[in-house]
Amino acid sequence: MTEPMSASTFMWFITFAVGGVSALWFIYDSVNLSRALKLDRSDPTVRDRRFGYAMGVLMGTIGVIGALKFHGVV
Amino acid sequence: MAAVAEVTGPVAAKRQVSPWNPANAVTASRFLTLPPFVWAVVHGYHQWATIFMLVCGLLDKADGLVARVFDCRSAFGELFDAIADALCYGFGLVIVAAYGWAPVIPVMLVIGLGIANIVMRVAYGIRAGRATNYKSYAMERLVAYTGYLIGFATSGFEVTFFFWIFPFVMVTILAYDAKRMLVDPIPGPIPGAP
Repeated sequence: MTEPMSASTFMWFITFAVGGVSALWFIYDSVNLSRALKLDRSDPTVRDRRFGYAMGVLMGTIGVIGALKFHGVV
Repeated sequence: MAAVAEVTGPVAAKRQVSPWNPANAVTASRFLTLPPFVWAVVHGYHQWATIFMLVCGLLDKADGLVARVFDCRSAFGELFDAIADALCYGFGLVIVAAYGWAPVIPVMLVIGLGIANIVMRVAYGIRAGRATNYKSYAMERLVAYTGYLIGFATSGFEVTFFFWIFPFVMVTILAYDAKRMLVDPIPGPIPGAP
């Protein structure tokens, strides 16, 4: 039994799966957050959405930083 | 005819969904990825372990899609999905920590916080007086991050950075959710929701 791909291919696959997805996640939740900020804050569901999207933006940022860190960019 | 439609409409909306449905089958199939995952970790196959955990994560996304396609969403299905998340990812974290692929202290923190989350969800269900899954946008994102966390460990991808930052994010989200689950008024069932 061997690993399915070479070490370098695997590392780029992981980089895309982490950095790429995190970047998309960051953009997606940034757009969601900007839309949610226009809604009525007195609604508890809206507050939950805002907090969730803000956390999504944070996690997307962490993912991008981690991917850049892995490649020695930051 | 209009009067009949008014009477039968809401009744039809409250139809029972069997727990033996395609969406729950997909959720249950996630457990099948755990034995090969353990096998890969035990034998030191980092790539295979990552792939099995990736399949587990993709099945988590697929079950919601299947539920919508086959129109079989249910409160039980949502609860089962949350339980499957906790079991699969909790088990995965324990395995990677046990085999030295991830730092033990953050893993213990994450599992401890995960247990606290389960206890609060049970308390929320008791307060609500019905089988209900507490919906949190932030927690949905955190669960996805947890799946990734195991992938970081199996692939050796900035393990220290991702594992030590995770408990801080989790504490922030749990503190916010704790207030909603334990203190804030519980909203009634949403019409049309499972």
